[in-house]
Amino acid sequence: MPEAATAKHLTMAWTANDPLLTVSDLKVWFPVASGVMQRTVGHVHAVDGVDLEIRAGETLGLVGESGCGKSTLGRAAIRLLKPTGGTVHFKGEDITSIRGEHLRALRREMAMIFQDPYASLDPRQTVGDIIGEPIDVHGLAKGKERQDRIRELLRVVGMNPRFADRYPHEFSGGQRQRIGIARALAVEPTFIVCDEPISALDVSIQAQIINLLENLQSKFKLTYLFIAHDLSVVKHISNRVAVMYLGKIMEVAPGQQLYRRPRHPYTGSLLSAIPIPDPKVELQRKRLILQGDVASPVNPPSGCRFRTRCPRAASYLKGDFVLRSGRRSNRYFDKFLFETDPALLKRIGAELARLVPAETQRLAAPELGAVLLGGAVSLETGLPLVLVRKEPKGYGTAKQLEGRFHAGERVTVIEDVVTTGGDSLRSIEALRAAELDVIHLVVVLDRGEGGEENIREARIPYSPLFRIQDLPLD
Amino acid sequence: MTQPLLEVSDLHTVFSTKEGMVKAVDGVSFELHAGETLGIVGESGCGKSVTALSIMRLQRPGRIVGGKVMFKGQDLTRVSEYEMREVRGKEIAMIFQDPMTSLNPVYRVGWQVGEPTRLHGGWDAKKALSSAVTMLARVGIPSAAARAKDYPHQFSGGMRQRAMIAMGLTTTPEVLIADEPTTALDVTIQAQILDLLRDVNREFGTATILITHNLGVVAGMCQRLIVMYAGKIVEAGPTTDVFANPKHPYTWSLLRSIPRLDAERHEPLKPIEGLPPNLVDLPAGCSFHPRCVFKVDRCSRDTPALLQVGDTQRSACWVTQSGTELKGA
Repeated sequence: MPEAATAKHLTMAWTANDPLLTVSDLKVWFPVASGVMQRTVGHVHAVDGVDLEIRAGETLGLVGESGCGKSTLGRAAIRLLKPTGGTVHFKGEDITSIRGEHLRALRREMAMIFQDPYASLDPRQTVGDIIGEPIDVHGLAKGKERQDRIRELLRVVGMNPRFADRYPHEFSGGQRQRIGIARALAVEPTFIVCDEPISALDVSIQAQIINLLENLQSKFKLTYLFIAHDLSVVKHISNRVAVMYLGKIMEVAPGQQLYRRPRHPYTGSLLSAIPIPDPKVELQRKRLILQGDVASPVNPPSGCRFRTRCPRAASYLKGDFVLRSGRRSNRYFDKFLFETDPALLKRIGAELARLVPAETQRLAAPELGAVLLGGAVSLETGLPLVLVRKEPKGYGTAKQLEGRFHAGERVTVIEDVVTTGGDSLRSIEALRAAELDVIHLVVVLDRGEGGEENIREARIPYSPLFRIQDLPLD
Repeated sequence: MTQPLLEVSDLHTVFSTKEGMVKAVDGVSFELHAGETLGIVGESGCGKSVTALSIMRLQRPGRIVGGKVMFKGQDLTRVSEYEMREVRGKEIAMIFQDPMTSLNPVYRVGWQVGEPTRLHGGWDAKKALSSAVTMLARVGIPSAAARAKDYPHQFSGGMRQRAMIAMGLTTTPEVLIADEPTTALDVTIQAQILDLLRDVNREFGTATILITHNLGVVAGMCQRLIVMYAGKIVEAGPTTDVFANPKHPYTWSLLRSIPRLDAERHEPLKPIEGLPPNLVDLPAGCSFHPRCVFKVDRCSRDTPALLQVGDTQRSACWVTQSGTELKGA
């Protein structure tokens, strides 16, 4: 039993409701060598700080363009590569740096299906030996039992059991991929990384393999990390989809939601670039064509990785703000927060300070992200800053603000991103309840979700630092 | 209708292999009209690329054993190699899937892009280079004058494909054949290149043959469409009609087997069962019949011709030719 093999290493209680695999701040860098001495002159930041959770029984899709690090992430997740930094937990156990027998035991729970069914099968081994190898390595079966198992695996992937005696060259690409899948299933894994499993196959064969993978998943309760560059395929097979760009995850969301309402400009561009096989749809689509090429992963752009191509990067702060994940939220990207780069914060602070009315006596920030901004403004203006805390049951009450403000003080509220305006209005309400005079709001406005209208209706004077522009998508 | 620009009729191209004779192109006929974009779709080995190479007389080691390729009153299958060189790259240009292997790594990009004008226009190096720079800028290469001095390896995949397109356009050809021009590229770069091809078509009025396996690409680019299977055209017609109401079971099944980005619900895909046929040993009758869900007795005996089915389409299928609609769960 695979569970028994690893159970003794469990460091904390893991239940089936917890994520099967958790990747935290994962980094995989590859050294770049140069010159006669082959000195390391830099690193390819293939995976550069990724957080992901994969739940038991789900398919998490991972899309991105070539070189974005998606395959490297997949390999590091099952410890085919040793991460440079960060951690990987599988069933609650830290597997980031396990070795030897322990790692071998783990290999029985994880498998991988590769892109190229021509390169990933040894041409000198029979199909039976290819599928039998993991069985031998882990000592799972011998003799007749082993043969039966191989035949059963071939049957499971839709092939004739008699093919066990044949060689890979006798089979087509699609059949070879089935053999690769049988080999992956041989150890009875719980988790399979499928790395572009259909990209090398003919269009008419792709659907066969997709359906096979889906059937196997429900039959054997498998969890998949499905890596591909084709978002149509990924959306079809996945419960949730993670979009990767230059070593970082840009957005994670259920496929349908991702398609209907992309929350990251890169996702929007990616969706727009994918042709839909329907001329009626295709001829009416608005196209959002990204300019330029992906930046180098050796020397990735500062701030947001996507900024060099982003159609929405705000005008005068172009390129300097980054997208940060709200850790526990289902949608990783929900807010723009600012990187804690001091030089950048100082610049933003200076911009914001110009918007703060001169009669302001104090600054208030209702959220942690806004505190960063508020802090920068505070440094710039010398005005004291107070965080209006978000309590479990709403915003800071008058009582909690006591002693930190004086009644009648003129306050300017700094807000990081205003989407609906709800958060800002509630914090302003709290401030007013404490008898403070809220004279101004300095905000970053999100695209049309009524935030600006709500603020205007509440008759609060405000200045937008910049507006996140609407993405020209349907 | 006006005289077609290019008319391919009953083209046959064969390859001799150890296993036997392969009929890579087996009686292909179509017309290309001025200014249009025609799509040729099919899976690997269906003969779409060999058709294009045969038009350019670049089919070797294959041999054209029958048919005509009429272009401006001459049959390109019969003109001398010398005359063919006058057509190739000047009046009909071709761009390939892999821009790395189709650019020469030891010459600067600007020199190569200017080559057609030096060869065909007799331009001197200076004039050719300046026109190459103009064209590179036109296809969206930033700081084109400086980048023209780069070698191909200094270009990204998308830029190399842009350079290939620029090279194809320097002589303002009447026909551009693009063989899987975006298959090796990432989707966002693919979108850039397709946009460029649309622009080129609009601005220069270049008639384009776009060869691809991607039905989505065809849907957005081509007015008319040809579907090939095992060396033959199985269906042809206006793109919107073929997609809305396919008249060949292969097209019908192919459209149902691919996941769509805009699908509202998760529905299992409906794959085409079986494998593409071995070209050395084709099934008797219609090559698609072993995988066809609509097949009737006749399909395994007689090969259907490509005939008019419906108002605008042509199909090589006994079932639809007899008036049966393609429907299924």
